[in-house]
Amino acid sequence: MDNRDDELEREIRSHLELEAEERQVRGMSAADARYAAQRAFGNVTRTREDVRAVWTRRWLEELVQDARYAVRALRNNPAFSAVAILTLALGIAAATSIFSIVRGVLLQPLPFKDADRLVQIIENVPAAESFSGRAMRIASMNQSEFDWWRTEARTLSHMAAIMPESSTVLTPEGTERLAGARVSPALFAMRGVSPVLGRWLRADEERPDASVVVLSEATWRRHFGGVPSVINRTITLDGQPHTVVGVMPEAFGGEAFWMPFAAGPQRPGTVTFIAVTSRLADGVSLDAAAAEANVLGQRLRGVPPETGAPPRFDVVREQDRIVAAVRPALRMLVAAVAVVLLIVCANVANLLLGRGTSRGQELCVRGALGATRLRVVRQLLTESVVLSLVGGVAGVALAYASVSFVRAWGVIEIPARFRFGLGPLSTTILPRVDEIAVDPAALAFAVGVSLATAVAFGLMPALHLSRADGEVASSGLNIRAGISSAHTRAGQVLAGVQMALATALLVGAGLLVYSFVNLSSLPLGFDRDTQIFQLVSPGEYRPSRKVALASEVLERLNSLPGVTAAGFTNMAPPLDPDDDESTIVPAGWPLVDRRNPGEENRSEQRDITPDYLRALGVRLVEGRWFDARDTAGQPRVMLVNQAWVRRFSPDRSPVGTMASSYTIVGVVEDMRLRMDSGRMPGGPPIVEMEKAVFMPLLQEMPPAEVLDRPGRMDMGGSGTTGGSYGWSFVLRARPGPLTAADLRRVIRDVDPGLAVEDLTTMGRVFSALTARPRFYASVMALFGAIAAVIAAIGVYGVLAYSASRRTREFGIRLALGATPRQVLRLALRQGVIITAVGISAGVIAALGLTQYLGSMLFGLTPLDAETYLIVAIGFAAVSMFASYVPARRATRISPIAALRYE
Amino acid sequence: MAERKVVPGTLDLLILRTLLLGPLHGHGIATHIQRTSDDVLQVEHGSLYPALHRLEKNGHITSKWEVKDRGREMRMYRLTPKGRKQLAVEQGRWEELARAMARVLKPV
Repeated sequence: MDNRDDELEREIRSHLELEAEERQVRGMSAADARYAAQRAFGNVTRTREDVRAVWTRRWLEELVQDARYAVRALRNNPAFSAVAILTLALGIAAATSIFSIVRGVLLQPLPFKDADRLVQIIENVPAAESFSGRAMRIASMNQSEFDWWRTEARTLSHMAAIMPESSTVLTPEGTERLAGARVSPALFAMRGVSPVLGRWLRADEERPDASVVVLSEATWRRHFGGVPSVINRTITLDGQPHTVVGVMPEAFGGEAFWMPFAAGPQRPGTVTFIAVTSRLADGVSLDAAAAEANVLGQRLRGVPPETGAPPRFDVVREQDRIVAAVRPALRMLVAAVAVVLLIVCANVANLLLGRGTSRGQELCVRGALGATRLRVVRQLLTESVVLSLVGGVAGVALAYASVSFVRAWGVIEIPARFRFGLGPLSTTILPRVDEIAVDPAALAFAVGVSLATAVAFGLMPALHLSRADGEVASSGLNIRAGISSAHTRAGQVLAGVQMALATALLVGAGLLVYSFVNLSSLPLGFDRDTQIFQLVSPGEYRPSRKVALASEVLERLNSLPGVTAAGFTNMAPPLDPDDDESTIVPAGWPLVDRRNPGEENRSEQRDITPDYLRALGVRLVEGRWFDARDTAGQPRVMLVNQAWVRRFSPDRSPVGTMASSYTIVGVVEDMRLRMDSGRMPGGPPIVEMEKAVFMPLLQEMPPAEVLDRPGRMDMGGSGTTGGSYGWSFVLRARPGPLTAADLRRVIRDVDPGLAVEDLTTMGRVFSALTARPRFYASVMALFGAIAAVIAAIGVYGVLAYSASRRTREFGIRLALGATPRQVLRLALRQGVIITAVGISAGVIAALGLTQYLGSMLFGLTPLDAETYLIVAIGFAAVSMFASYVPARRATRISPIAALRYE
Repeated sequence: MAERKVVPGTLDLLILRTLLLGPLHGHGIATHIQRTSDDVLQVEHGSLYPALHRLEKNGHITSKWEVKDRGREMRMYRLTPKGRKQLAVEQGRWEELARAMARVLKPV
């Protein structure tokens, strides 16, 4: 292109020289000749332009010109451009990330074959039959009933049990603790994922003595070198030899290994529940399956359903169940982000309107200089498109950043022990967080909406211009006046709408933030700094040896420098979702209080070592702790908490009295031992202060000969001797000297087979359990802040524009003797009206909308007056400040300057 | 001296006709048109160039830099076969127009 320009330049120059020479020959002076030559040639620049126009297609060049001009115009007005671009970017990023998340989590099918055919049977157990006295919704199945269901159910083509199982595995590098599962071979057909190597479990291996195992690809690579020869190799799981028959890819499931599940004998007096997943038979509807489940269930339970009660059995899609816990929250976020997007569009519209109006004169001048209307429209269009493209690119970048942030941040670091309290697939804030990716459709939608807004409102001035076209361009004043009243009205409405939307959003955000503050400042009754861990002994050790090892570890821990108290229990640690309940009541109390529903006589029970509660930071209210007296063969003793005392002995001290066969030796403060996982979906897993009793572990432990008796079951759940999940230790140490490495070394010294799992503090467990409410509150707070800032900018823009338009009027008023105060009031009036109307409308909207937040709030109702008041007052203050700045500026101007202004 | 601007749309015809006599540079074309029309047709020299470049783009003429008298480098334009055909078409059209004009304007 430059080359062609150069050539043209040479051609014209040689032409001019030749002409000048000829004229000189005819007797002109050199200077005259040169001048005459130029006159004969005409306008050189125009010639050049015209020739160039021949070369290039004209519109393309004009487009480049428009774009260049647009960029220059945007750069000349950095405040406008920055606000518009930032607004667009925030809106696009917020909308894209939330819609991508919703699509990934709620709408995308599970990554399995026939994912929408996978279902679960859920049993609604009425309070009257429930062993805990509460109505329950049980998604798992009594393992002794599994085979019966599988044989009888016609509407379900496959049923598979999944029972988590951890095993100590002897790998070439040493002992490892792996979290696997016992599953039914049918799972393979249901998920339709092929093995990487070897084969899946066969149907005939569904027996307790099959001794075969399938490894996950990750386990295979990390612990077995990723070599194909692993097939048919024998590996040791909890001391038992197992043959590796296959390797399954990551897509099949998150477990480390799979072994065949076979319903085993029940431990006397216990019921083992297993998770069961089923596949609807082809052509069968959910309703048909539920109807059959109720027929079968009635045969099994033998009790007719209560009249009017909901059906005892539900059949629900697995996918729906997985996302049930987060669906209300995601709906809320979608609504919130839609509001943000609306505010963004309103703001961009407002900005463009204001800018378009102030450019009325410029456009008129352009028109007068010969620009066609089409050309002006194209110019405006180009500017809008350039603006929204820049905003769009920034928004896309921001969207990718925030989605990857959610992916990285969405993983809840929580020991496996506590995960079930968070619901299914619960190691993440959102289920399936690792499948979330920026969704192209969502991105296109968000960019499209903002582009459409920018184009529509960017063109408004052109419409006004064409209406005023007949008028003389130089009387731009009239045109401005005409456009501006229309704009002012539109701008006021837009600003008011923004205020209303932002208010509603802020109220929602405020409620969630308050709720989270309530939640995180909840008294737990124990010290958050207490360290906890699970001590796991290899499955093949004799039970009495496991007890001895745990006691030895405790002794060694107590002798470590810095340790102030340590203890362990064979039951669930604090905040665990499992309950270890028992009914320990004083003489004269019934075991189950059927007369007062909601009041029950069961208590949480923990068997503990003497220092266990002290290590947790629980204080003794009266009586004494356990000590060396409380051993086997001595009178059975127990500690009770204040909640227990309130229920059973509110009027006098229970110390020294008997309950069941125990003598109460002390009373301790209340603590939250257990999480309540039965709350509404989406709600925080709040722990209740419950009645609790504590017994000395060593006094309760059967003697070694009983423990080691062959056939005594000690697997799964909370086995007497810390079976497969281990002993739950608590440890309090002065900060500093004791490190995790020290701890592990000490424990390895006691026995190299012992493993330490889930070493963390109670505070971290609690913060992980409240991660979801925290996530929702943070996102909503962020949205609320964005909305508030954008809305404040909107009000500022309207006020600044109207103040600048009325500069002349203010000047006249000041000249005629109005005080600056009066003028200020006049300038502020508009802002006050917009703020008052906007915030009132927002509060009314919030009153209606926040009821949907009910299940997510803790410690306050959706109509919490304080939140509404703080939001309304705070936002009004922000909005008044945004109005005050331009209004104040308007009154500062001197009357003379104001009158000259136009 | 009666000076006339060339009739719009006829510049291409004039250029093509001039180049029929042989290759020529822009200045030569302008002076040739002026001289042969006894200075009746005044070509604004500058307006020649967009026309020349358009004709070249359409393939009616080609151009080439050549060293002419006194060592001056000039861009020489010459007619292509396609240009020759175009000349015939345009000349025919013009003559038709001229005849029509003449018939309309002949004395009653």
